[in-house]
Amino acid sequence: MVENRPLATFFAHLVLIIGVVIVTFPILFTLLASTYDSSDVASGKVGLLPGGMGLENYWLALTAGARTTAQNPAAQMLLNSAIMAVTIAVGKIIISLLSAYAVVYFRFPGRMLCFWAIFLTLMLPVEVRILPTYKVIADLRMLDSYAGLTIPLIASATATLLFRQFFMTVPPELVEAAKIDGAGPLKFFRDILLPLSVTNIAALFVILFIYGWNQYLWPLLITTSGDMDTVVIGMKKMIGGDDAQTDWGIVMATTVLAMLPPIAVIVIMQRWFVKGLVDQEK
Amino acid sequence: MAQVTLDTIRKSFGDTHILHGISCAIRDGEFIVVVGPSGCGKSTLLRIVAGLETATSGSITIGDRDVTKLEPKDRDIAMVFQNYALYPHMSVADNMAYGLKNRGMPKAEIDIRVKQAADILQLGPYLARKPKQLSGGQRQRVAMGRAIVREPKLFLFDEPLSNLDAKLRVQMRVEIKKLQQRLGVTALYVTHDQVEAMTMADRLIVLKDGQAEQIGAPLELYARPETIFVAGFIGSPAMNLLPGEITEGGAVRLTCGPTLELIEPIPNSAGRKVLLGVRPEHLSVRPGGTFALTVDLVEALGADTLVYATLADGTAFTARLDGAQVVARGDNLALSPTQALHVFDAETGKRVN
Repeated sequence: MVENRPLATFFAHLVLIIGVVIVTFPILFTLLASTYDSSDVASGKVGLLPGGMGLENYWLALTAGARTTAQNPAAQMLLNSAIMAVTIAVGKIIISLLSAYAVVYFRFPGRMLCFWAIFLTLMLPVEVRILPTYKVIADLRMLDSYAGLTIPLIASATATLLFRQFFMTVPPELVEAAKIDGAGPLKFFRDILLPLSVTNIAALFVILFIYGWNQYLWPLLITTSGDMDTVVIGMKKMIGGDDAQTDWGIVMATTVLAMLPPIAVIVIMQRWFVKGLVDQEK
Repeated sequence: MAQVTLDTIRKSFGDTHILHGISCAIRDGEFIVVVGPSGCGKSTLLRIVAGLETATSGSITIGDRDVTKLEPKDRDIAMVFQNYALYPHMSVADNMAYGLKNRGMPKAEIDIRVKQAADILQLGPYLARKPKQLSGGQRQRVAMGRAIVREPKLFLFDEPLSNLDAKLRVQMRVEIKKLQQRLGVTALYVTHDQVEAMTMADRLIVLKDGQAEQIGAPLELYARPETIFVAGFIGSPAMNLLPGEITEGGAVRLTCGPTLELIEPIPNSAGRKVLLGVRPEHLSVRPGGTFALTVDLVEALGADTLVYATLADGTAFTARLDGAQVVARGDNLALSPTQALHVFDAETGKRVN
């Protein structure tokens, strides 16, 4: 459709620009505030140009944490978050690839039962089963550990369903061709199914990494010691009762740091994503 | 290279019987085509030979080995699928090499074999490409290549040409047949296309409802179909089948009127209900001929003219006349059979004469 109506184009752009400004302003403010001294942030002196405290704030945030509240260095918290997010994402992908493979390609007693059991857990969000899960983790003495942070979140119905749907679109002749070519179940999985799933894996990794990174309730329950805090929990702990107690410059610097890894994951995986889309044909 | 024996192969899913005991001895290097309408069990038969499905009973021997209980990979076979089933993420060379790699063949030898197969199939320039960058005919060749690098004892083809356009189909038909003759590998080929079946086969197995109606060379089946089904299935356009009964003298009196004498009269069967088969191409225009018909539709193909007509009593009748014959809609024609007639029992469908 060819359209040439300048007024319509103008309004379309106006609406889009307003939208972009609304979305980016808080992020811009965070970026700017992270370069000012805490008292300046608290008294509203943040301008449209960066302040002079940038390097100092980020260095302090990374190595020492907020001076007035919980003194957790962001470096440790970022590491905790990264370990948690990556373990959850990778774990979920491995578990759901394998379970979807089993459900789709093998006939075993109780196959449909397994499938429906997985499917039903979709209806139970983390919050509903959080107390029993806490009890189990506590009894297994996994509180305040990476295992406790990650294992309960790994089992995933969504990813299993996604892979199941994908596997069902793979033509059955491929399985048969592989059988005749002498590839057993594991070889077929590794040589054919896995390469075909790359696009899905990349997409899921992005989604699951962000899901893991943004976990709040579960880490809040399961961790008590400061050096197991994830960056999301840490940020909350940094904010004191009023402006005098809150080291706003450091908080903002930590916030910016916490935003970077998910952005990096999206940017890096997007390339894979597109590559997968281009290469794939069933 | 090997002879293959199928011994009373049956297949049932619960109460549904797909195959009712198919037996066939395939000679070394023979090209066997299994042909039949969809749902007749021909693909099931092929998949049983491949080992992708297990037969309910019966046995399969390839070479001297009973392979009935073996996995597909241990049967020394190669299969070409209807949709080619190429691995989409692998290059053409990797697609062909995959089966050899899985068998632990040294890389140098794999390379030689892939190179040879690529030469035979003119795939040399495409070895590094992915399947989706190839045309239908090229993909078909890659699928063939994957089969021949293995140097199997038996080729299995599952309607490999049905995804190609008409022209390419004719071309690939010739190529497959040539290749098979050159390699001398026994082949089992499944199709629903009777032209493919007739042109490619050394011998045909005509399958209907899980039963082998007739096994034989294409011309044998054409000249002497054993059942009504084979008579109607082989040959295009299909044979005319007209109801009638046998007279005292062993001739056939048709319900539509005329009585036809047979070269060898059928003795002692007066009153038996039969179907008389006349091939459309075995008719010629003759004044006062046996069949008086009114032309409904004419298809002039150049070399021949197909005439779709009705007999006096309204029965549809097809004739294939010489292209020089000028016929128009509404004409009245008199045709006489020029070759031996086929007589089938109306109830059992078996050949009588």
